[in-house]
Amino acid sequence: MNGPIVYVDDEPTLCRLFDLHFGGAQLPARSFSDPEAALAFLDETPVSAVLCDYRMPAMTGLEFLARMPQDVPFYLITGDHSFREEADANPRVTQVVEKPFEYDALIAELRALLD
Amino acid sequence: MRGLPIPLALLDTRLRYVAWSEAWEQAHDLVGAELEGEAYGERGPAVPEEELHALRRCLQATTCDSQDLVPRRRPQGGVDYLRRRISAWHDPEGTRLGVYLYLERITEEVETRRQLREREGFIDLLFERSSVGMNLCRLDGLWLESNPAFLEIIGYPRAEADGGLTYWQLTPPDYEAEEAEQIAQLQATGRYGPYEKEFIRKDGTRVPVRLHGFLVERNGEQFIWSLIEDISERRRLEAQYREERIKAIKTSKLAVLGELAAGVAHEINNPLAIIEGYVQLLRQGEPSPELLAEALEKIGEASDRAAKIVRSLRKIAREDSRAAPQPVSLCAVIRDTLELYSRRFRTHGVELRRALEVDGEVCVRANELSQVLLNLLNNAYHAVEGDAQPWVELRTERRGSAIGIRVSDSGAGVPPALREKIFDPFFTTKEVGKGTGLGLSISQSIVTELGGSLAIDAEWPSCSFLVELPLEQGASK
Repeated sequence: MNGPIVYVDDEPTLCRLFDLHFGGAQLPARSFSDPEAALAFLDETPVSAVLCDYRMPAMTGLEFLARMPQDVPFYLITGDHSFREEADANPRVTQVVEKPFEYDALIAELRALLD
Repeated sequence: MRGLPIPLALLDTRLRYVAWSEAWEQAHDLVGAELEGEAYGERGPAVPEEELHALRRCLQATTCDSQDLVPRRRPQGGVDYLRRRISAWHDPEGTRLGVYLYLERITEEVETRRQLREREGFIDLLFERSSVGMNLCRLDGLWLESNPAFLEIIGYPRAEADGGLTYWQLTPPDYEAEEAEQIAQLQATGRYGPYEKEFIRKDGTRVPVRLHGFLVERNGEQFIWSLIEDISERRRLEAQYREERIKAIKTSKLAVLGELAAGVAHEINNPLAIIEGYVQLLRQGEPSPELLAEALEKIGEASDRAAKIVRSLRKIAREDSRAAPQPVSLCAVIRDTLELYSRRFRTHGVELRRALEVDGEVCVRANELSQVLLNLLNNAYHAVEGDAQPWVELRTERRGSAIGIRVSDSGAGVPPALREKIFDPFFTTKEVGKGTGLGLSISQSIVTELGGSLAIDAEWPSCSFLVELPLEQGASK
């Protein structure tokens, strides 16, 4: 693993939950409720994967992906399906994860992918 | 004899002129001719063979007196009509001396009578064949003459209707007030209607009709002449139109809901993700008291949020388009609607300004009003999408005895040429498949039905749609 797993979601409570779950699983993790701050972080720091919410006030998850400076596994997290086709057509999207999701299953999957 | 003012000639037994009147000379173009002893028909217009036969028959009979109307072809073309009378001429002893021949040209009278008959026939034809019901009745309502179209409307045969039925027998009692009004009008102006009522048909069913009429006088007596139109088909179409409109409202509501669904799914799945996330943490083992307290608080908040969304959604989707409008606070309806929709604006960086200081009670179906607002907000959203600094503003304002809801935006506005068109059904400026083109037309009809109006306010400095709704009495705050 080259760096932390980054989580981006405008919902602060979900960022907090990400920290609690991934921290508890001994995985290096960083969460951001502001996508611009996350992009700035990605400019500076190599990361091993990005999990990003789709619907955010400042930009969508796919807009975030387009501006992402690193080519790492990208998980698009979402509560609705309205953009599903667009996401599936994007080769850089590793997987679309629907809310609510199982943290344990996601952690296991990322561990397998990154080890 | 000469001076008699009638065209008369006296012929002897060999049909030669014995005497004749000046009027005869004039009638036969023989003015001033010396005819005595000359055979009838030798000069002047040719005498048809049939007439010579008739004259000879008369000479052979002991008595004769025939009178008939005979057509006679004119030399220059056309036909003259002559009244002809032939009678026997005897001396006082009874000896046959010849015949009286009376020939009067009555072409003009015959023509006039024929034209009159034709016109009467034509009027009869109009009466009989007209698809509009026609009827003549006495002032007391007794029907005297009905045309087939009218008999068809009331379902009675002519034998039972004319002279047997009265207007009042077929008028349902619930039209008493309207009838009194029409009678007053008839007395004052000589005319009544047009107005709409029903007749009770022979089979007991009611038929909707539109009728009007006027007073006519015949032989010193007054009658009422009426024209009656069966409007069942029109009524059926109107009912069908109402049905279709309700369906269209539902369909467009579904379309709006479809757009909403994505946002709503997000709004509900976020709190669910929070609840799930904490539950999964708590299941991992002995939680610290701090974590337990945090989890309880966040789970509580999240479920409140989800419940609120569901409540708002239910208010909008409730299928009560037939229910009677209820007095509600306008701003409450606006807030419920924004609860669902404002997220979309936030998500796409469109500033949603609210100026809801003015509130008042309006009598509406909340879900329909929400639909109107959603439609206007949705249009505004699409109009500013992609602008550098997009904003949409929703403000309420007092407008006389009405309350206004103004939705304005930072977009370019509606070009003057399209200002009327945009309210037409199926007119859309959105890409194919993106808009139904029904939104504004349905919104306008919803607002109109509530006694309000929906229009573009061209005076406003930015693109602005204004909904006006009448305020409930004394309810303004």
